[in-house]
Amino acid sequence: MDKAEAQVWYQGLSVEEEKLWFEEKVKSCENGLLRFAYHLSGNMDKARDLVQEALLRAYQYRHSYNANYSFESWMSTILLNVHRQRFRKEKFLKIFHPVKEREDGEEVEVWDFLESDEEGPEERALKKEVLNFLQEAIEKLPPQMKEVIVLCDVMNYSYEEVSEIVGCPLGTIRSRLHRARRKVRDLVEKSYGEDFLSVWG
Amino acid sequence: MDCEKIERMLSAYLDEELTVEEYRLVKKHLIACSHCQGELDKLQAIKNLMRDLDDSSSLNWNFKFDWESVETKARTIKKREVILFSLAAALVIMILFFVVSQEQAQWEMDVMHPEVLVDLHESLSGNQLDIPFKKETNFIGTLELVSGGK
Repeated sequence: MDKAEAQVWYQGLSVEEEKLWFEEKVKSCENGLLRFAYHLSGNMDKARDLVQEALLRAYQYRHSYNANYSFESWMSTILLNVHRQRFRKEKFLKIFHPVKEREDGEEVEVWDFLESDEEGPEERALKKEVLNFLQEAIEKLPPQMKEVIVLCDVMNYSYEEVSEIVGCPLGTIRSRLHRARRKVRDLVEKSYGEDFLSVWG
Repeated sequence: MDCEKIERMLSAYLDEELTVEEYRLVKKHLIACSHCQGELDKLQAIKNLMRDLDDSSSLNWNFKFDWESVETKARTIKKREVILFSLAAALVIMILFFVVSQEQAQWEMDVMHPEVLVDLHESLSGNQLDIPFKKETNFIGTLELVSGGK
């Protein structure tokens, strides 16, 4: 993609028009970015902070965006870089605490939304426990594996998209994802037994 | 193909990210290998659990982009950059000025050395000067001697 084509999106636009364009693009993907930030950081407040920081950086460097690629992928790359920088500074990862604010401001456990009418109370409790454990297992993964498994399995990006966001070849993404899933599998089996996943699936 | 090589391809097989040839190889192996089929089932279970972690259709993320905050921060950063750039430019100019003035002083000392002045006078006027040169004779002192002053 040459420079002339890449400059198309802001050519002829005033600063105000650029701002409106940027705002519209952000609106279309802000919730997806928050989900990504949430699973990377394991904390809602941190996630919001991360997204704001990423948006600030994206706005500063908006002219570097190539309109022939997905805006959300570009934003995800920036968000991932911000997260990596913060992670390097932070000594410890916080324990994941899943909460969600309802419209009336009361916090509820997010797992309440995973209930199904077909499940009995014991199954719901087990599911809640397993998902909590799963999140902790992901937090224990090396950063490079965590990024890839979150992007692929939680955010549902393709290998090619993940390769662009993370900045690694496809083969590396494939290998990291497989190792991440195997590591999570090993942790789950260590806690719940070797037959657990066969039965769960 | 052996199980070790097939296992490394299972995740990509699950995600349909293999080439056609690779896909055929894995599929053929899975028909005959219960061990690898079991591994595949476990990876599928992990993938399904990961999806459950983010059941976003049930969640209201309720995030609003704080545009004002971004604009304010962007302006602050720009101001900071301008100030830093100005300070850096001023520092560079000061350093250059200092270096140049040192060079100038050195040049004056080299070129305007008393001996050089005397040689110059002698070559211009043809007269030999009988000046008792003292080591401490400075530039002004030399000028006075050459011009017939004290």
